[in-house]
Amino acid sequence: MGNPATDVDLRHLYQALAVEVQEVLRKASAAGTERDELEAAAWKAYEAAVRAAHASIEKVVASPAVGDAAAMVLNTYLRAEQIGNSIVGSLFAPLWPIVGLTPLTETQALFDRIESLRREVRQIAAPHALRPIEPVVPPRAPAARGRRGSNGSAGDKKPAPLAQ
Amino acid sequence: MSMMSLMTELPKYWMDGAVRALDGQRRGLSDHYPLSEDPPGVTPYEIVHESGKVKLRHYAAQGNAHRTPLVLIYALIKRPFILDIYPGRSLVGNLVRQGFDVYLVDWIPPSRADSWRGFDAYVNQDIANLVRGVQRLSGAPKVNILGYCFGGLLSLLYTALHAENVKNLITLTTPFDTAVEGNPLYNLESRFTGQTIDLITSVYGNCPAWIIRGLFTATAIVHHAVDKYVALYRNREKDDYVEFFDLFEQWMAGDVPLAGRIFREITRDFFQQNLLIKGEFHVGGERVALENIDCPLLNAIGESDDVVFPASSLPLIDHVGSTDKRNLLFPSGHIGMVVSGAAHKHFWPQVGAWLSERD
Repeated sequence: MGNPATDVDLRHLYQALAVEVQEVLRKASAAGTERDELEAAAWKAYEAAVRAAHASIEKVVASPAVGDAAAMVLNTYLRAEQIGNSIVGSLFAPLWPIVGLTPLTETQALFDRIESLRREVRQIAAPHALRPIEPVVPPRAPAARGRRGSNGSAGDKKPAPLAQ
Repeated sequence: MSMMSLMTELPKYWMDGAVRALDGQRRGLSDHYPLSEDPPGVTPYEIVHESGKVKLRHYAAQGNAHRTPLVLIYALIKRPFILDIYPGRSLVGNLVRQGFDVYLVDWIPPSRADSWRGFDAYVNQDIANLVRGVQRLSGAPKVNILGYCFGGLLSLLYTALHAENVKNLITLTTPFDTAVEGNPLYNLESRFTGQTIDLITSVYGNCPAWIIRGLFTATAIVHHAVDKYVALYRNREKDDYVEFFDLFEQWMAGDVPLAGRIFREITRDFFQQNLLIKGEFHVGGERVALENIDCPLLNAIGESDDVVFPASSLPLIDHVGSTDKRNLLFPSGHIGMVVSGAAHKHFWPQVGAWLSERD
């Protein structure tokens, strides 16, 4: 839609939907209506229904009451997760060393440290000259197709190999 | 086509959609986002720099290159492969064919250890570093910047704080005035209380991908639940449509977490208090003075954008110091601006011409 739907917009959308539905019913009940013609009318009615439903739901979601309700549900969920995490953490944390395992937080901290060291090494090795550090050629060479976007070009269709 | 066969196909499409959503959920929950699962893209590039939470990709210009390199700043909340997703729908491909040397900012999704990262880290460290890198690599004293959506906001902040490095600025579907009414996304963001923000950051460290996905899904429920699948059914005979649909939906399901601090700052200072338009937004303790932006500004807006309403972007040009500035509206939605055939045929050549005139 791109702009907030007003009540007038919504009324117009539902009026348009009513017209399309009437047209479908008229064609369905008339003798000699071609199947294709009826389907085309049905699709038009469907499109009108989608436009009306989209604008209506957008208007509802944009209302303060729905925003407040969503925030309340989220708060409740997060509070429950916080409590759950605390309970699980306090119950299980002392058990890991007993069975000789490292707690997840320590493993995670180790991963983060390794990652940060890898970055430091890469930055020491390459950054100041800004040399390419990971040349990449797309492995998916797009297949030739009959139907293509309007401005597809040779450059898009088959990537040239990178000069190393 | 029959309505009956639609009824038999829809459950299959929904099932595929559920698998994609669960896959996206798995990727978003991983503390180290599996970047290797991104589709490979269609335009060749090389990674020329990596620091902080960013990789810089270089897509070399085709033909006679313009003098000033173009830095494309993507949003922090999804993966950037939408910009090079499919032949004929690749924004990067379009720009390099127009002779622009494109440097794409590929943000590395934050892990829990990065929850301290706010606008200061992204703007004054990451973007500042990579712009310096592009200047050194290309030899150009200034760069052109094109920012998309949240990336447009980052571009705006960077340009206001480092105006001396920017030759031309293009903000594409960029949120600016968050007091516009009737926008579902802004409404939901503005309802997050301080307690909600504290809970999110205390439980997860960062704002998890599923919350971001929920916010965006809420803006177009009918589309996500039904209409996109009906459209797929109606176009199922077209191979390129089906292939593009799969890639596009993979992108849609690919939300990434937002670092805790920047989530707090954008929710409270930008969406709730609308501080940027009031001239009171601060990054790293420094006020963001939009009047410092004196380079040419092109503010590109999708007329039917239902994520960032045009009314939110339009006022931007009234708040910058530039004399050469304009709004450019195009009849498209938020994502159509970068992937639709019409935008590639009619909109991006206009943007290219605007940049070329100011090279």
